[in-house]
Amino acid sequence: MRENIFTSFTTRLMVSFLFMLSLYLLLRGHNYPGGGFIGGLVGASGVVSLYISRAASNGAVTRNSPRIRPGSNFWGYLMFIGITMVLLSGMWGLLFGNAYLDAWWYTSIIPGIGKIGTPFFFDVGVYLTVVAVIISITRVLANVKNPDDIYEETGE
Amino acid sequence: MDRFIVLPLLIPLTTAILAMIAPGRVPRRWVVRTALTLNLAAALWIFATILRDNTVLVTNAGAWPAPYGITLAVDELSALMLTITAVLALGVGIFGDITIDITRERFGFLPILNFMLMGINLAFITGDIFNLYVAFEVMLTGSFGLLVLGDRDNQIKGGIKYMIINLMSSTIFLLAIGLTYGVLGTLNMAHLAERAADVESPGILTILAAMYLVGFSIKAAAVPFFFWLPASYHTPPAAVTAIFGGILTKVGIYGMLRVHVFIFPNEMQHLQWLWLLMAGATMLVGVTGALYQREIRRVFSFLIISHVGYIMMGIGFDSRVGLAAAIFYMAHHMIVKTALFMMAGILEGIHKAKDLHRMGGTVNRAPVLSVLFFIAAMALSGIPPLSGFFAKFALLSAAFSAEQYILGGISLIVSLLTIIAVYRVWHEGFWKPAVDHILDPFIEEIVLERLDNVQRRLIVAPSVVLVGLAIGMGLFANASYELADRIAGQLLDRTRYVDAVLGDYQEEFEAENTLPPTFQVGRE
Repeated sequence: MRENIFTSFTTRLMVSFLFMLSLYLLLRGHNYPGGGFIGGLVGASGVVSLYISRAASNGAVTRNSPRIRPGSNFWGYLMFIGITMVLLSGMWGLLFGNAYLDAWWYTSIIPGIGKIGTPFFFDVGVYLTVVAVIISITRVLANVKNPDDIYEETGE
Repeated sequence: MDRFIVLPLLIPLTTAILAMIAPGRVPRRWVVRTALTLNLAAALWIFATILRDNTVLVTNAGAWPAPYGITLAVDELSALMLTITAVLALGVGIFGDITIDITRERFGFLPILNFMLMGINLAFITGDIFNLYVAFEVMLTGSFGLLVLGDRDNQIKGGIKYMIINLMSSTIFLLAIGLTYGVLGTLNMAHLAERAADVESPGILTILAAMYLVGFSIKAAAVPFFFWLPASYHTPPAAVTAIFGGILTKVGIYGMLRVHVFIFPNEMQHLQWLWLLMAGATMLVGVTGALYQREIRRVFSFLIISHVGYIMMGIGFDSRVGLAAAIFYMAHHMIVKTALFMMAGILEGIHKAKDLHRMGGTVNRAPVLSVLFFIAAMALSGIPPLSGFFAKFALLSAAFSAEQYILGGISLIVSLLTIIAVYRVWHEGFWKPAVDHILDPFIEEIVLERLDNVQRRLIVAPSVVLVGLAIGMGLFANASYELADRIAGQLLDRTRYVDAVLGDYQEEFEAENTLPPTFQVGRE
């Protein structure tokens, strides 16, 4: 099936804003609404909308669908990196602080990002995990290798 | 050192991650075995510290103070559950990584097992009731993954029933948590226990307790919410059934102990009739189902239900004796049931059948297994020198001291029926002469031919240890009962837990009336 030109055009416009919004949500997260989970969801929704716009109308993943490299487990490794960051960001508090996940802040302020500390790495870890999980699920749900298979199975 | 009680959460999580990226089957096995041993060591350390210092270990995640941050607290009950879970997880981990087929292992049997273990450990450690809900969800997600791993038709069928009913239970649990927050203005368990004790039972707490009862009894598979258990527990491989049968329903029981005994102790008198009615019905229905079934794992699935009834009966007497008996029974049941499910898996592998009618002659073919199975089965049905006898004896004496003669009678009848059901398994599976039968083509058995001699010994070893524990609990029944009694006393006393969790907060806010406005309206 052909791409829908309206969907793909709007998506291309929208996706960059979605990614910027997701990074903004990630960075403001500690004291205001936002953070790794919400930011990750917004970011993942950008990638998912790319999938939808470039997939054939029956939802199958086609050659145009965004992918890293056929057969690579990129999102799995991203998930791994994310969870590892979450785990390690709490370790400082466990080993040297008062409790697991106890925050440790770098004292000076970095322009554009703000104060950096272990909660930031926790948030980034959550962000990566959420993005990777949502996209993995989408890929599994959308993964029909050959659209003709559907017609054979349903007998249409 | 209190902050290291997060180790039972961190170790399974790290293991799950490492097992996901491990470069092959053998490294993955050894990573998981090492980590489960470490987990057991951590649990034993926590248990020993608590017993030695007679204390409650508390840590607040992120060092946010108690009623605001998420509290993790381990008292004697949590420590006992953690330790038993760690023992069972190590046993099932070794049994499972050998017996599971390559497809299931490649699709993440060991990582999912560890994620589920993290959820279970979190349920035991957490001191926050919403966090308990989160733990239940983590556990449910993991268990659903394990249940349908392998993608067989009957697994999906069982898995869907399991999923839907357990999601309903989670929804009711979550509703109850929301209402609790509306009424009492806190979700910290220690804080809840303190505030609930001040209320002159205005009825709303009774409703809350009833909602929690429904939520937890679905998890624990009590009548009338037990349908999902026999529908799903016999479908996955034996290792999965073993860990499910040993631990999962008991997490529901742990929730009951935490919420109904610890937080809402005054509501028990209003709910007691319902509680005891459910307990009696659960015992009877479970054992009757077990008598009817012909597949070995279905028999034991129904016996889980029956024993959940016993434990609920002990809690329902609302006395220290009953509670101690229930805790004793729970420990005994977790150990013995896991051993039995593992041996049932091996038995299915020997005969290549699930149906008891197609088995037989095992005594000659596998004498060690037969002896172990016999001891575990007798422990389950409550024959004297073993753990089950003392557990049932304690429950029965609690029943008579609470003057619940009908329920005591029912439990005796159910014991008798349990012996019949278990003896039937023993006779059909082991004792009777071998039968020729057509091999069941659809069975997911353990392929014993593929294992070498070391592996064959290793899959029996966990059962040996667990049966040894059951014998030990019987031989040192007095010490075991005293431990259970101490845990019960601590759970009923609750001041030590509250003080340990809320220490500073109490002093700071004692002068003010900290109850939220909704609560005061509700009281009038």
